[in-house]
Amino acid sequence: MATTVEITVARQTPKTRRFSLGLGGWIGAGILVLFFVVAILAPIMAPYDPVKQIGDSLAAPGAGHIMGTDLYNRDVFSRVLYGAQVSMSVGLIVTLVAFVVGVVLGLASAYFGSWVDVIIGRVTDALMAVPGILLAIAILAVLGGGLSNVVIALSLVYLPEMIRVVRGQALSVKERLYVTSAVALGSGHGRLILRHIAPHVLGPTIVQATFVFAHALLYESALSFLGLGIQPPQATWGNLVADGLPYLSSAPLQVVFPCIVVSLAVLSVNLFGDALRDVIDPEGNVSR
Amino acid sequence: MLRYAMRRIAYAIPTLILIAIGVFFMVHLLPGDPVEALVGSEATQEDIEAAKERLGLNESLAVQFGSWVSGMFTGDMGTSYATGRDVSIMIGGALPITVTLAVCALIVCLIIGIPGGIFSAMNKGTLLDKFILGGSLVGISVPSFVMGVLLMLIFAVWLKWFPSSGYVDVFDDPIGGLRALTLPAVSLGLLYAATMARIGRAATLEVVSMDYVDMARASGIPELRVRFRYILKNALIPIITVTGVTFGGLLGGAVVTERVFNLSGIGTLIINSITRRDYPVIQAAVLLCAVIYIVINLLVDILYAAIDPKVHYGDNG
Repeated sequence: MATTVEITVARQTPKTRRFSLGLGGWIGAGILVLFFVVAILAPIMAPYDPVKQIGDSLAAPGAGHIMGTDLYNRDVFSRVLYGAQVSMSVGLIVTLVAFVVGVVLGLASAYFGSWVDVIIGRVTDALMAVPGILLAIAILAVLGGGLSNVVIALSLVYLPEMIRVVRGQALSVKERLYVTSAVALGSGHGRLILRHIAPHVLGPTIVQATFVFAHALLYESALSFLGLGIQPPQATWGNLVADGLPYLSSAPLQVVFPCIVVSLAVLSVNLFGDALRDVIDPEGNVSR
Repeated sequence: MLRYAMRRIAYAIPTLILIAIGVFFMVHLLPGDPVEALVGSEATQEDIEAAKERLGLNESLAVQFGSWVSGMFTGDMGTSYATGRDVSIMIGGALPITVTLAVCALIVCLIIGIPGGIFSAMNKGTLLDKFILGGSLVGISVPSFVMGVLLMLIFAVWLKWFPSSGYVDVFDDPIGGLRALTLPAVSLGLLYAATMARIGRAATLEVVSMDYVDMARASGIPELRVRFRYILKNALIPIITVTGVTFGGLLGGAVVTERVFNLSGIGTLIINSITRRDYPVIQAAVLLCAVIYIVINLLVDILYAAIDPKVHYGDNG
């Protein structure tokens, strides 16, 4: 055995924090999980086919139809359950796209600087200079409605903010001493970005992602309400409200139920996101 | 100061150009030919050619873009495909409604949001703080159309205090106009008040923890004076910035609220134009909203620099 000189370097293990979301955070997480379960199990849970005409038109809630029926004799409860499928998939996909693309472009922008930063910066500025809902509407005006187009539109709306968060965080990390040391020790671009910068960018980015999720739910329902998003007869919470609005005075509950459900879904994400933000203190994890 | 303003304006120009390009080429990305939709399916090839000639669609894209942009500056926004009317007249009719709604909503937002946030922060940890925090969390979670529909159900359908839809010009009939605007403005303003309260609370909390506030208290300055002179004054600075962004957001949010209350503002115009594939109207309306949004943010930035002693608008910024 060759003589080895053992150098012990105190390895910087990040202090493990007790992962405590608090009551609000857990309630939010619980309701959110419930919504995902409903979305997945909607075909089993729904008592009726969401687009099939059964029963009377605009029947009041009661036995058989716990949320009543809509103008086209469809069961509102089944449509609300299926609406969860649309909302949750839009929310999830938009968040994933914004997260992945945002991290890649944000890191590239901060790390490479110069013209890469200028181009990404200008385009994000231009996208953010249009109010979000208007940008989504303009994109859907070109692409037309439907699930995939709503996802594209909302991803483009939320990508710029994500890029900014990642870029800002990466810029501050980039200047830290340990990154400079890594450069001096000859780390390549890939190692610098993946090993030294990216991990410290994740915290705030995950928090931002929860806000993207909440907003994607809000905007998807609003776009569907406007008739620009997911097209009828497919059930979405926004469509349900739009369908019921003309009969608000005679059949109010058919509108009130989807209203409550969509608000509850967004509230659960916001509760969870707020709690997560309090836990993932961006500076607490990286300085030390 | 003037130099800062000039630089800030210069910085907004590339953004504006990018948006103009984006909005203009939006139409050229469309599948199908808008001209065929315009002249109808019965039109002959000659009709189509004539329409193209009339609309200047035979010119190169660069020339078309140039004349479109210069038209926007001179108020010649083209002709609506669907109605044959001047786009500028259609927008001129819709814009006052949207702006009135946004301004009323902003008033609601500021009246509720700013005191709510500051009050919450100054009484941090109390029941009142928790109540305001909870309320604002619900506020940011409710979609604007849901808020509109619920208020309409309660105050228009059940209580019949306000009309459920329609617009009455405030300048023609002040009382009727305000009554018609109350529900839309409150439903839109409440949601933004929630955001405003959260930001106001955070801004105030940050100032409360500043050394100079402790210093002021320690030097025996009366509590009320500390709160107003030292805390409030400084907390208001970030709030002003947010107000600008909020107004832009309200203009966008108005699109949805107009739909709920059947107000014929810019939002309704855009939505109707989309269903009619009336691209000149969509282009002009979207560009106009973006320009208003940018100009407001520009003014707020300059105002911010003017009132905040900490912002250095010198040459190194």
